[in-house]
Amino acid sequence: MFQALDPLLHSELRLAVMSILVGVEQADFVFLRTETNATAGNLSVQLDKLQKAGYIAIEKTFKGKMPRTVCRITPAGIAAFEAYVEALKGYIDAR
Amino acid sequence: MKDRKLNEAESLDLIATMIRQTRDRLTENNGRHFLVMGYTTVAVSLAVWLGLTRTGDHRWNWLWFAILLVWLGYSSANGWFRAARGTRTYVDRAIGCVWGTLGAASFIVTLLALFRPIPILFVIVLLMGAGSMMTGLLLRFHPLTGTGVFALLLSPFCVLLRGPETILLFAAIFAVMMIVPGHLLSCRFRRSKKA
Repeated sequence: MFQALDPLLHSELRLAVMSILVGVEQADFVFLRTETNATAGNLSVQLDKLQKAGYIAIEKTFKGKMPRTVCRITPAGIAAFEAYVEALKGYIDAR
Repeated sequence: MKDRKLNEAESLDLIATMIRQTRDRLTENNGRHFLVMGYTTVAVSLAVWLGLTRTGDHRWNWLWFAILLVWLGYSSANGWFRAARGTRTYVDRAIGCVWGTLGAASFIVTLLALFRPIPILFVIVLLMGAGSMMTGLLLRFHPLTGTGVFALLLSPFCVLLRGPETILLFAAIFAVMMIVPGHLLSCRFRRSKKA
């Protein structure tokens, strides 16, 4: 019996963001946009979805006079990411 | 990158690629920090030793504060570059905490030594040796852990020796503890960037 894949993580951009955040303590919006090569609008929407699910925490600060959005993965996000990878392994091993 | 659905193999590939790409981009040349600190300390130590042995003037001891000035300038420039990078790793923060705390402790001890007779070189070697050992463990770089332990074990000799020769021992310990692993770390960094 296959475990269901978390639909929130089973999307290219959201999975890429979670994969980056799982390896760092925090990353700002500009860094995530550069690494994922996504548009600002799309990235913003996907970050909002991850935040609403409780997978990431978003903090809006200022660097000098420039606004800065900093993202961090939450414990719930780490647990969801681990469960997602475990579920993926089940699918791959069954092949 | 768009909001498209992936198959299972693509998902695993994407996770592996993003983790590897981020790690490679954030790998810092930590060896540079040790080289700056090591060469500065050795150069200042030799200058103080030369000054003291040639002139006998104890005002040469004020030159020790040059190490602090160099380190403060270097750390602020480094902090600015890290902030501009847009991200921070757990290892960055742990190493920053270790050296921030040990640096503050060294500064306090140095200030106290102006008023009380403290075996300052012994205390500094002890603190910096502990810092090197902890950094080596965090970076999983055994030569640095080893030279940190080496400094900790040799630190009592800074109390046992008397006179300006203690400064030479202090400089030699710093060369082994910071310059040697600094070059090795830089080599490892350059090799990882080429690969």
